[in-house]
Amino acid sequence: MTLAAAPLSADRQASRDAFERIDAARWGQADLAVALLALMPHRLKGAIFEGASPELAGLLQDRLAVRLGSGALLHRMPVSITDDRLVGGLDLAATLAAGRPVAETGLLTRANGGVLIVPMAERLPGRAAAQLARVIDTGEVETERDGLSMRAEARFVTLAFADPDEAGERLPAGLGDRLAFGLSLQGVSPARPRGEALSVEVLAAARAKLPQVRVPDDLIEALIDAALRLGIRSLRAPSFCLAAACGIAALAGRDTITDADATLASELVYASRALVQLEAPPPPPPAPDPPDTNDDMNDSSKPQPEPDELTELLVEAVRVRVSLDMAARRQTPCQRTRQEVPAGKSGDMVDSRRRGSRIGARAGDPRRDGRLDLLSTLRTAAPWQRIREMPAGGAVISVRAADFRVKRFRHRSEAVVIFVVDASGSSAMNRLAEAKGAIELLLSGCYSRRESVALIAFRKEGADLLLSPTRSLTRVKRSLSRLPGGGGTPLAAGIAAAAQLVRIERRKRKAPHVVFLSDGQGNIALDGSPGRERAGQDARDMARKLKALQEPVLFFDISRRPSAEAELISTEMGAIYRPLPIADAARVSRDVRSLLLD
Amino acid sequence: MAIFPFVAIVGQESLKDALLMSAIEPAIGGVLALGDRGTGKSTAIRALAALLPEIEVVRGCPYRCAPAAKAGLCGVCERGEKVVAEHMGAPVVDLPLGATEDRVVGALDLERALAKGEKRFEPGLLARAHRGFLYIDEVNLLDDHLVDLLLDVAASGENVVEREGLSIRHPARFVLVGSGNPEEGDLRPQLLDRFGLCVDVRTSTHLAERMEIVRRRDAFEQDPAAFIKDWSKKTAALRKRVVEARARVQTVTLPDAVLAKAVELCMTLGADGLRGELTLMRAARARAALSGEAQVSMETLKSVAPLALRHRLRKDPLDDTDAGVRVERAVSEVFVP
Repeated sequence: MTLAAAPLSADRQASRDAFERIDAARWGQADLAVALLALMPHRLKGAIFEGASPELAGLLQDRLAVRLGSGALLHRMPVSITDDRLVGGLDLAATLAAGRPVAETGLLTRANGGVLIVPMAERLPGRAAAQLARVIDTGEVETERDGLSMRAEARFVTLAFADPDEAGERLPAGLGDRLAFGLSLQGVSPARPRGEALSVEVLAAARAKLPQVRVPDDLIEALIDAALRLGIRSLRAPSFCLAAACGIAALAGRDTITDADATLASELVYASRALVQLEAPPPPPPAPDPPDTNDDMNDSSKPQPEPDELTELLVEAVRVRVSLDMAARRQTPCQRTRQEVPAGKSGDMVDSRRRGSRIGARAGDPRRDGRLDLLSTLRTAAPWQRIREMPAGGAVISVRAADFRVKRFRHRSEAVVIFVVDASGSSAMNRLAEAKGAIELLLSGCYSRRESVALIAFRKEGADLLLSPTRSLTRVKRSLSRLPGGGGTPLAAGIAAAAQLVRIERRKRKAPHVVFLSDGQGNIALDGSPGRERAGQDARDMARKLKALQEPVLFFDISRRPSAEAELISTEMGAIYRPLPIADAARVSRDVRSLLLD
Repeated sequence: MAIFPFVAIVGQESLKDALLMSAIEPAIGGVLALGDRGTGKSTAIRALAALLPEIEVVRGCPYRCAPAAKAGLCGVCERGEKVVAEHMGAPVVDLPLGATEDRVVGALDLERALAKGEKRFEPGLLARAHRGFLYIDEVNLLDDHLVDLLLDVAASGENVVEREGLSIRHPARFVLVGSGNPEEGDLRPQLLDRFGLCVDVRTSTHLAERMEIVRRRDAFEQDPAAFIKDWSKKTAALRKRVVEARARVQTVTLPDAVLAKAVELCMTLGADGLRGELTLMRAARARAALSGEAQVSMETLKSVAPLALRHRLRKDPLDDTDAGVRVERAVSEVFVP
């Protein structure tokens, strides 16, 4: 947020002060989270910070390293890390030099006793995230690669940093669930610090105090009940929250946990998890009975207990926190949405994308199976050098056919179909239902499972990403079971949101396809103001920008009779135009498949 | 690393049942556990290792051949030389996602080849899992070609290696256990029905149950050794039940009337192929053996039907009904009193 240079009115000054107080509080909580991680690293595992500026991220890392003490080191995990760098494998250079297999340790092993930093965590591929998650669980790295079999201890604190600006990208959920804290630092200015750093003495005293902290039963109950009421299903969350509450009490030098400690712990642990659930339809209320009715614990519980005071306090605190985070998120990213990527940059992307991203190597013949993976081939050949006869002609390394490794790519065209649906006016529910039907048909019909689907709906003043790209039918059903609808028609915002998502997906080396369901008649301009003329102009501008991205677009005209406006806007965006006077999910799905994907 | 005791796991009855049934009758063909995060899928499977009875093996045999066995032995043990028997814990091998193919199937022992010029096979994870369990967490993230390979070996019970001038075959009979979260991408349909049983793992939303889970977890983390000791009696009791059930399972009879119902149930559900019926029967036998029954009752058949059939139904994208519910509905149709 940049502040205007003009003198502020008293009102604005007051609201600015309020924001600063909130920001200071948010920073204070982030700092507390890091102190708690230093206090009980093995129980709390780590934290995710959203939208932290580089300065704040650096400060948090450094403070954690200092507080952990005894020379804890920082290790960065790049998003593009390969399996062999992550868990270790054969050291090519050393193996060639020594003439026998020499192992190389991976990043996760080296991070033992230190801090693992994961920048841009929202882009971390599921596979790398799953490997990290497993090491967080078990505290050791198991390497079974390149003929080597190794086990090594790996206990570290994970600090993940995510940028919520990248709409639709989110931290792999399995990883988020395993780290205790999730905090948003969106909009907290690096120029405004941030209290005194915690002294080493206080931390040492808290470590000594920690074993004496007693946990009353009703506190456990309140923490678990609050988690349920916030729709948090994972049982890791209440455990983390309990540990955090103990830590907060210990830091204050107490051996009893106060309600305030519990409230603070809930904010730190539950707020980010509850947020995920709030976007989806609300979960069913806690069932009075567990599935298996022969459970002996049944008798001890009341059928539908009223939340007690502490539970209510915790739930309320988390709710407030969630809405503050959402407000902060809304304030920052919208400015950046308009910031266009220079057009020239996308040219080379289009080509490289067709090849997909590399995901590994396998044995094969490069003449038949694809491109040679030189490094893997050398790695395979390396251990044999001493016993192999060198070919004549001064060769330094002998490679045989059996050593050949070819690159494996993610499927050539891993397609993402982005549905952009007009959810305005009275027929909104109808159209959204058709889009939902089409999405489900598409996903369930594709046996190869190489396509993912996203849904953007536009209505009232703007466009919302209702479903970030997914291949999971389960997620589609969960997140689309309650769709919003009604209001004006911000077509321009819908097209802009589609273009934005196209760019994000291209950066992930996916092949985006866009499908519009609209009548082409916008009446809300890009800035949210009503008026047909401006709205139309904005929509055409955005359409041309979408066309410039040169990705396939399909436009279903859903007006009763095919309209000139729809056809015009469809031409502007370089789309294939299809009139669709009668809503029909099966036909949408069929056309998308035949016109775009096959 | 200390392992949370199997018997101390709260709830998750179907997962625990499925694992125990597979331990009693490995021919069921593996378990697929699908479900939410933080439900303790991995905990249950890793806990199994500490629960299962020890196995008797030939000392020095890398494939853990059974000294008493007549068939299904490795090349060395097949020659029938005199062997020394020893005991070891039941293998539960946890396959890391980053594993390469050579370590999974086994490859030439490099160190030995280079140092002594000797051509010797270094067994991989498949050999290590023989007579036990092979677990893959997040099976949907493992490379497709590795998953196919594992399923093939699991079905045939034999690992055939033809690489680097080696030609080796060795027994590899193990129960394949996979877990995954359907929200992170559905599994390939071809893969689904190759698992014998499929469990839908959910977190309990019952307050008292959740409290007990958190309490036990907390107690375990404070002092793992004491916690394991507290539960050792129950662990021993369950282990004894498994041993007895294993001895009994082949003699459990399946009345014709029950078999007829099993076939009818599969037909009603349109479960493809014979795999459904076979799994259903084997699972029902194992369950009967576990509860100490001499023959499979209708009740037992009903209770295992969702586990054995839920992943074999044809998917109807417009029908939101949970697969387990569809099986139960069919059960109540077929079993009209």
